Amino acid sequence: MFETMADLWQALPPTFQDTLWLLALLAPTFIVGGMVCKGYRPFGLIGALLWRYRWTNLVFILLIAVSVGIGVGLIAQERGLRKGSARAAEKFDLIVAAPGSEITMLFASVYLRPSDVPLLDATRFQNVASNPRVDMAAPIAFGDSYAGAPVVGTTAEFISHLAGNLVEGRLFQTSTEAVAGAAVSLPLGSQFSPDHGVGDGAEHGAHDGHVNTIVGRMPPTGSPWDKAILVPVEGVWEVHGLPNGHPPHASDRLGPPFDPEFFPGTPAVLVRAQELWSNYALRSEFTRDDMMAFFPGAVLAQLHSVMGDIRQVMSVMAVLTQVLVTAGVLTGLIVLTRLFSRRLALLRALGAPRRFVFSVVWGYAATLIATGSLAGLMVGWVAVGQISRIVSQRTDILVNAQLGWAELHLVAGFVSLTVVLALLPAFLAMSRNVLADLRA
Amino acid sequence: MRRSILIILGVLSLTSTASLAGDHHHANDHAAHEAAAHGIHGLHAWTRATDDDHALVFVELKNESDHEVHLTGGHSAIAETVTLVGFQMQEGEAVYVPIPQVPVQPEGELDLMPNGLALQLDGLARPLAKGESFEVEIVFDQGHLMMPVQVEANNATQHSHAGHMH
Repeated sequence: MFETMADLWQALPPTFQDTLWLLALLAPTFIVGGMVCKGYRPFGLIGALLWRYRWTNLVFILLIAVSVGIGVGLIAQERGLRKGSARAAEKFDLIVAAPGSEITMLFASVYLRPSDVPLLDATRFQNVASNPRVDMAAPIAFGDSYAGAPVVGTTAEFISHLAGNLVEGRLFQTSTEAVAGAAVSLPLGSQFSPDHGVGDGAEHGAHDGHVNTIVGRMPPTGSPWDKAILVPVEGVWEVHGLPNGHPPHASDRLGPPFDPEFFPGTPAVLVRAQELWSNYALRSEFTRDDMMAFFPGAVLAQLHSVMGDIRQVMSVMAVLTQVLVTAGVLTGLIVLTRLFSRRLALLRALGAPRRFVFSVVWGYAATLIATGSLAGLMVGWVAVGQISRIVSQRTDILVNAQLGWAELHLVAGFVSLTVVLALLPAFLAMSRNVLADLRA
Repeated sequence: MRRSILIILGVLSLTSTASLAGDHHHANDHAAHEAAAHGIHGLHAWTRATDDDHALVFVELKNESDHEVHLTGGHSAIAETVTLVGFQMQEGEAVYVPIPQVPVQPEGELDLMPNGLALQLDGLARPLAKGESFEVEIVFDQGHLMMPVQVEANNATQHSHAGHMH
């Protein structure tokens, strides 16, 4: 029986499963509401109470809205950052480099946070490039910059793989031409001399005399490569006074094949095979004492598993915050019911049943909680958009966080839990001494 | 004095016997985590405890033959299907996609591990509890390798004996 139910559940489309979960989480609210209000029509009186104490009610609603908004916003943001960073790494199938830290190389070659790393020499590059299973072996030579934008040496094939067709201009055809990322402010035809190094430690004027011209622009990729300037790897070697990968009689040539005798080395190589299984075979082959090969996606997944732990902590914090707010709201509701206890006592004196008073107070509390939670979703939606924009600016990774089913489920659970607990102030209001309240 | 010497010898003898027994037990323990056939050596096959109807099996493989072999999939009595899968990021989400085969070079190694290659068991006949074990038949183009699989904790990242020399 249980297995049949489980199989049936697994067979449902994910959206349908999420919708059912949402309804299940909201069910206590509707069941309690139906039972409390059964036989009465307390809505007119609830509306009057809401209007009579509108400013106090507004404060309660805002309190709930901010609490819910922060909770759902944090969780959605973490998911957005995780997806954004993974999407930025998708084009990097397999990275081969000299032995060292995979994480350092991941940040350097995929997210363009350069570090001092050993170079992969000509023999090892030749091992990689000449492997029959390798479709593309593109050197990625980082370390220079211009006006804060990383200048990366690579091949035209890599640019086509990374970004597809250019939105402006053409690919480089000489070692002094360059292709700009989508977010680089230099227009086509601009000329620049790269600085040696990146950031505050960059040596300005170190490569004066070597002028590059922007001849093309990539479409947006949602990755730090949008702020990079891509030049032929031959150009990077030349400005550093090294052989340019080709023999003297073919020194104008760009791209592979490179001559091992004139290959100075590269920090990293992007390797691509047509089939996924070939990439696994290649990783196995290139993982040696003198080389390392790794899937950026796999390294990222390890980092994400750490982030997953952080997400759990954040989720617990979000729930705790909401529990604290719930406790505050319930305490406030008890105080509020004392505020209008004389009116409720008058209602009772006029002949209203105790359960009617109970339904009025509970309905009033449930309205505040539901309105505050809905407003919280709005707050979360706005906050997520703003925070995504700031994170994207700071990291150069396109973060497109959105509220999803997880947040809706969290809010639905919060609403149901709180409206059930709101039975307490309603019970206390119903149990008050009518005569004492009338005399108060 | 003689009595003291006898006591020391007795203690040494007991310690030695216990050590031999421990070695024997350890050797048995190792044997339970490895298998070899057709020039392929498998070590430390493991999976995570789960109540779901699917699980991933990881294992360290070494091709000790002088020719290339191809890993293609597997079979297990506790699962409807066993498929060779590879980890991939798609639209920012981690997924495992089916892979037809992976070659292993002569004297080459292939590690099936989390966020990499794995054998995916679908249609599990029963939940998998930490501490239990079951057998998986790993299929190569050259033949089959019967491999005991250890069930580790549901959040494990490696075999509990990973790093031990065998």
